[in-house]
Formats: sequence, C-alpha cells, structure tokens
Amino acid sequence: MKTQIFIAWCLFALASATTQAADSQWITNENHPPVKVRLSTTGQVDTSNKRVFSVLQVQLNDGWKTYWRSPGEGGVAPSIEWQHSDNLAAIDWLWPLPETFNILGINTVGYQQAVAFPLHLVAEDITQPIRLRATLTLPSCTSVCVLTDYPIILDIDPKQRKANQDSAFAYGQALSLVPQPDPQAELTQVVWHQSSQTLSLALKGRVWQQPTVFIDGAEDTHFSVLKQWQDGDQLKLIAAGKGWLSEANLTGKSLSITVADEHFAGEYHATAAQGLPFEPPAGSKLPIWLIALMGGFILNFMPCVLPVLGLKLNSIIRVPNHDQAHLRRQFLASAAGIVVSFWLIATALLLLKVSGKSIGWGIQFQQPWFLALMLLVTTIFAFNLLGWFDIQLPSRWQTRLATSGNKGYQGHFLQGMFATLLATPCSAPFLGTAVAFALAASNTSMMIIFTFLGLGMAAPWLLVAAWPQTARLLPKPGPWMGWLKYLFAFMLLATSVWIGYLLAQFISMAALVLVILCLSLLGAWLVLKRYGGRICLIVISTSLLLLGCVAFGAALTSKSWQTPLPQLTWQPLKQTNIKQLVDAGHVVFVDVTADWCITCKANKVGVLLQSPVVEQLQSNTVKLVQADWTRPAAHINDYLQQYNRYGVPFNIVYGPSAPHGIALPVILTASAVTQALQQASGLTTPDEQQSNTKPSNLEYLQAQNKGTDEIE
Amino acid sequence: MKLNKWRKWTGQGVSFLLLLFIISSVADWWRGRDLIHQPIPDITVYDIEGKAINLAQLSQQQAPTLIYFWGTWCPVCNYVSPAVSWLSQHYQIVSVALRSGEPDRVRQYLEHHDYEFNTINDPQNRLGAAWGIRVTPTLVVIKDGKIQYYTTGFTSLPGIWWRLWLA
Repeated sequence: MKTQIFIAWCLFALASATTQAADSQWITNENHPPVKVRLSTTGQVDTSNKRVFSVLQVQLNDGWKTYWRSPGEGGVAPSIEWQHSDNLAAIDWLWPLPETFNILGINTVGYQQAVAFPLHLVAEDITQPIRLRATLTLPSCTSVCVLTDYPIILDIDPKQRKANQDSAFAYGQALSLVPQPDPQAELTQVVWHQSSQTLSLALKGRVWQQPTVFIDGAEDTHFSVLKQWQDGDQLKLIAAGKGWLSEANLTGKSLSITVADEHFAGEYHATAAQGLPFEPPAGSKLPIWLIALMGGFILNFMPCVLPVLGLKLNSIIRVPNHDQAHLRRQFLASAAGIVVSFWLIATALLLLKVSGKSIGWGIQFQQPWFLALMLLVTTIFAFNLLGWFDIQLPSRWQTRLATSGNKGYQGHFLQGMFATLLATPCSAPFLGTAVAFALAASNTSMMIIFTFLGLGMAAPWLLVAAWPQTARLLPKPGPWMGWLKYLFAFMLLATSVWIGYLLAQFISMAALVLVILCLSLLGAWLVLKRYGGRICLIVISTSLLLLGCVAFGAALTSKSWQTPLPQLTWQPLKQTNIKQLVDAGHVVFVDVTADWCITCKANKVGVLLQSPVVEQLQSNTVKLVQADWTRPAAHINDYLQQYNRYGVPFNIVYGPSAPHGIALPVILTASAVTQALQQASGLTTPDEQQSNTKPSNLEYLQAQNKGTDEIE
Repeated sequence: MKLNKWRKWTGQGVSFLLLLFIISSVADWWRGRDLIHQPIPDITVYDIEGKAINLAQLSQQQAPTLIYFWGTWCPVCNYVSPAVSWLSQHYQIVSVALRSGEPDRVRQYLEHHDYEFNTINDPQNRLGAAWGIRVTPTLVVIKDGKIQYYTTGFTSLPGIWWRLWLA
C-alpha cells in the first residue's frame, strides 16, 4: 500500500496546476439519514489529459453497506448521472478495493462505514469552467435496501488555483486503495466451461500470501470462487459464474481479475476462452461425515468430558437388576441430549453466520457471561457428586414425569446436553477438520456434519443402548464407587478452578474473589443443611487445611517448579509483517492460541517448551509470533480463515523455502515442528525439499490433513 | 388426564402465537410510520404484460391484495420474492419493481428466476413515491379500500401468509 500512496502523491506533484477547489459539503437525504455523501475537487488539474481530480466521500452508519462496481450476488453499484452538465465529457470512477459481505447467506461485495472514490472529471475544454449538474444514485442495504438520489451541483473553474487540503488528502488515501495494473504477474489461463458454468483462472509471476480474488467485467454475471489453490508458481482457482438474467456465456468476454493480498492489490485483464475446467487437487480421502463421526467419538475421552461419561457408568452400576428396556431408554435419552445439543450449537452458529459475525469452535469461551455460567454449573455438579445435595426437580415436574410414564428420562437427556457443553473447550483430532469444513459449507451440509459430530459423541451411549447386556460386564458395586465419585467430583472442581482462571482475564480480581467466596459459602451452607454444624465445620477446616498444605507445599518447593519450563518471547501477530521477516531470511513460527484451549496448553508444555524444540525456537534466526484468541479479535479470525481453520490451536511455520507457510498438525509432535522448521529454512536436501515444499499449497495441506490424524 | 395435557399445551401454543402477533404488529406499526395512510393513490398503471391495474380499485374488493415493492438490485428481496411467487398461486398479488430498469430487463429477470407474480415496472420510482415507499422489500396488504398490513425487510412465507389471512 505504501508504494501506492507514494504513487498517488507523485501524481499530485506531476499535476502542477491547481484549481480553486469546489466542494458540495456533506449532503444527506432527509428520507435516508444513515448515509452522507460529499463530492469535492482537490484543486489539482491534469491539463494535458483535461482532468480535474475530485473525490466522492461516503459515510454510512453502522450496519449499512454500499457496493463495489460489481456488487456480487445482489445489489447495484453506485452511479452518477451527469448529462445535464456543461463542458464535461466524461467522469472516470475509480474503485477502491472492496470487502466481501455475507448478508443472509448472499455474498455481496462492497464497503461499510466509510469509503472514498476518486473521480476524474474529464472536461471538453480544460481552459473553460465546468458546470457539474449531476445526480448521484447510491444504494445502501442492511436488512432492507434503499436507493437514494443526491443532487450535486459544483461550479469548477480550472483556471482558479487553490488546493483543498482535506479533499487532496482524502483523494490520495482513496487512490492508494485502488488496485493498480500489475505488470509483474500475468494471467496465463482464463477458461470458461459452458456446461458447468465455471471459470478457471491461472495467475503467474508473484508469490502470494493470502490472496483474495474478485472477478468481474462480464455484464449481468456474478462470480463466486469455489476453490483456490497454489500449483507450483501459479495461483489457480475455479469460480462459478452465474447469470443474472439468463444462463451465462463468457466465451470471448473480457474480464477483470482483482487480487488483494497482504499489502498489495493488483488488477489483471484477459479474455475468456472456451475450454475444460481445471482439475482441482485431490481432496480428502475420508468422507467428511466419517471424519465428523470420529471427531465426535474421540471427544468422549477428552479430560473435560470423561467425568460425565464416568458418572453415567456409575449410575448403571448403582442400580441393581438392570431392566434392559429401561437402561436402553436411558442411554437413548442421553444420546438424544447430545445430538440435540449439537443441533443447538449448529443453529447458534448459523444465526451468527447469517448476522455476519465471525464464527469458530469454542468462541463461547470468549464470553465472560458464558464462563460465569459454566463455573456455576461445574461447581454445583461437583457439590452434587460430593453428596452435599440432590438435584431436585420441582414437585410439579416430578408428578408430571411420573404420570407420563417416562420415569425421568429428562435427567438423562440433560446429562447428554451437559456432556456436550463441557466438551466445547476440548478440541479432539478430526473435530477441527469437520468443524472447519462445516462452517465453510452450505447451511444444510453444516447441519448434517454437526449431526454426525453428535452421533459420534453419542456413540458409546448408543452402543450400550444397542447391547444393554454390556453393562453387566462392569464391576460389581461396592465402596470403590463412592471413591470414584469423589475423584470425579474433584475433576469437576479442577475444571471449575480452570474456568475461574479464564474468567479472571475478563473481570477484576475483587469480582473473582467475590464469586469464589459466594460459591464456597454455597457449599458450606449445603453441607450445613444436610449434615449439620459439626460436619460443616469439619469440611471447612479440612478444606482450609488442605489449601494451607497446598500453599505451604508450593512455597517449600517453589524453587524447583517456579521456572521449570523455559520462556519463549513472542511478538504479537497484529504488529508483524511476516513477509518482511521471511524476505530478510528469518524463519517465522506463528502460534495462534487461547487461554481456554487445553490442546494449546498441552502443545506448549509437551512440545514447544521441551528440548529439542525449545532450543530451535530460541535460535536467533527464528522469529516467534503469537496471536491470542482468548478474546474475540477480527484480525485473528481472518488469519485463521485464510488457512481454512476455525479454531485453535493453529501453528504455521514460514521461511525462505516456504513463503506460503507449512501448517503444523493440531496436536504437535517434536519431529513435526523440527522438520517444518528445517524445511522452511531450506536445510533439507533438495529431494526432500521437493516432496516437502508442495504442502505450502493450502488446499493440498487441507487434503493432507484430512487424510491423516493430525487434525485439531 | 390426556385431555388436560393437550388443553394446557394448546393454551401455551396460543399464548406464544399471540405474543408473536403482538410483537410483529408493533414492529409493523413502527416501520409503517412514513407510509401514506389514506386514501390509496388512485392511479391507473400498466403491468409489464400491458394490463391496466388500479390499486385503489383493487383494494375495494372482498379478497385481500398483496402489494410487493421490490428491486432487482436489492439482495434481501432475493429471499422474499420466492415466497411471494409461491403465494401468487393462491392470492391476488401485484408486485412493483422499483428502479429496476427497462421492462424487457425486468421481464427477463422474472423469467430467469421463475417468479410468477404480476409486475408493474416503475423505473422512475413514481408509484413508489406516491405510496411513500422508502425501502425494499416492502409488503402491503390492502382490502376494503384500506391498508390492512404493512411491513418491510425480510419477511417469511408464514409471516406474509398470516397478514393476508387476517386481512
């Protein structure tokens, strides 16, 4: 961008003549207050090309959007009607790089909040005054759409010379955002395939980081990129072309391709030829539903879910003489609870997606109110396990349950839902792949994938429901069950402590102490009610004693554990220009993490902070970059989505030999990190390198990931 | 026992629907503040098939008429149009394409999207201005010479249907 700002200012310097600036000031239409527009000349004139430079500034209230020259699947571009002007031959409208929006599932391309368009007024005679009598028609949409007209009257005398600093600055800034023709890269293939209505493009000559491609130029046709990948030194993509009035036929049509990348925006032109579409790189070998099923199943064995599964088994053992039909229904109810919760999660994500919010797995842990709720739920369940109170449904409910004859299956249903709720902070292998695929897929596919995730997680429950006799294989009830229950209670209490630690990031220490105090008092009160004052005092003093022991023990041994793990110095992702570091010969290790992500912690303690990886990361040539997703951050969402990830942990290594980055498996291994670091720095042998640099292509990596077990 | 349970559930369902109805009515009233009220503009216009239509006269009929203001340029309309198109088999519907260009383009657009509603082309927003329409999509139900319901933005098929049914 910097070079473009420089070019813009050079253009200014070239245009030596300046003119009395004309300014419409901010105009609003009383029927549509959310939008303001202003057209002003900058004071500069290009006499040889008979051009007067001006800038059209648009301000939109929150939620309102206006459109690019090709608005995408709906919408219309802003336009200006100027036929009633004098001494005006044309208006050249320049379009800054737009953003893509998803409104109610429709992809549109445009701008929000504020945008400035450089407009070049071309005079018939540059020595004479220009009388601009124009009507600007500006579309703007939220959940409704409005076309608003703004009359614009400007009298411009190119001979009177005085610059308008504000407009000149706005113009320069806007021009720097307009994609420029890029001689460095070229379109090598532009192929339209009629029967599949797809356009295949190949672009050569540049190293791309995270390119976003906009295609336009064909009248009444809009494009959506279906697949984009790196093939050697070429950027390839397949896009669907959709006719607005009839079936599209682009053979022989000239098209504009705009590519936006980090710190770069270029424009390319070519004519589409008839031909066969590209063959996209081979995708996943495993069908996505199977991946989802496995991901869901593995969730059961994650530390956050295990206590719930244990509770369930506990409850079977406790009830002697299992009535098989009864048992079966109980387990089916829990399985239903799990599947329904996954549907609820999918629905919530869909709603967020429709409202244009960024989505991901575990984002609820970025919300303090959710953490507070979870803290309450886990603590209360732990108290329940400790036998301090029983969960009593209101008597009205109990009566209804008894009379409707379903013997309290709601409790088992809720148990399933609770298990799912606890599972959300856990990322299991395969789960990430399935979720990433689901979040990027159509709404129907998303529902289907989440159903399979739910079925996968419910699999152990469903298995017992199918063969209730397996329950008999469990050990006989005895005092050990009581101890197991306490163990689970302490696991849940540990979860509460962990959630409390997460919550500490969002609320003040005083508030956290208050919350802990309230929960402790609640516990004490429950014990008092059930067992009386004596036991209560014993529990309180035992707890205090235990706490004291832990604190004392910690203080005594602090020397040995205070710095058990080496430290790594990370720089924030937001302030880092990865390309620059790589160009300077550095290897860049990026870690996207969050405090609520257990897998991230495990990776750090187990791999990143252990020899030999830690020594490699501490080397001077390696730059460490971290993005913290504990709280919502738009730039991190964007970064993750560029690699088709929707969750953490995400680790990637860039280097001179891998400018596109080598994405690492979700569960790190020392050898994977070492190999990636070597490969990125170019230390591997040429043979190895050739087979290894291929994964720099994103799609290929995705495909690889799906085929192995190295997924989040 | 069973009967009691059913009665209770029906009661809850009815109160839920009533609440929904009250909320959407209030929202409609709020959205309709800028709309012209009485009388319905007595203008005769021609639809893209060349048939004369007078909305003031249509509103005098027994059956309700749905007037749907939309634009080919309005992304949100892509969601409402299919529902309106489906309802056009059962109800009298007149759509007004605001500022959507030449009649030929609008006709082609309707054909390509399989929309079956009657359409008046209003490239200069004349009819829209006479009705005080500021945004698209806007849905108006008229009957007995009056505007019965008015709503804007995304409206679902059942949402349109109950307004027609109650009118």
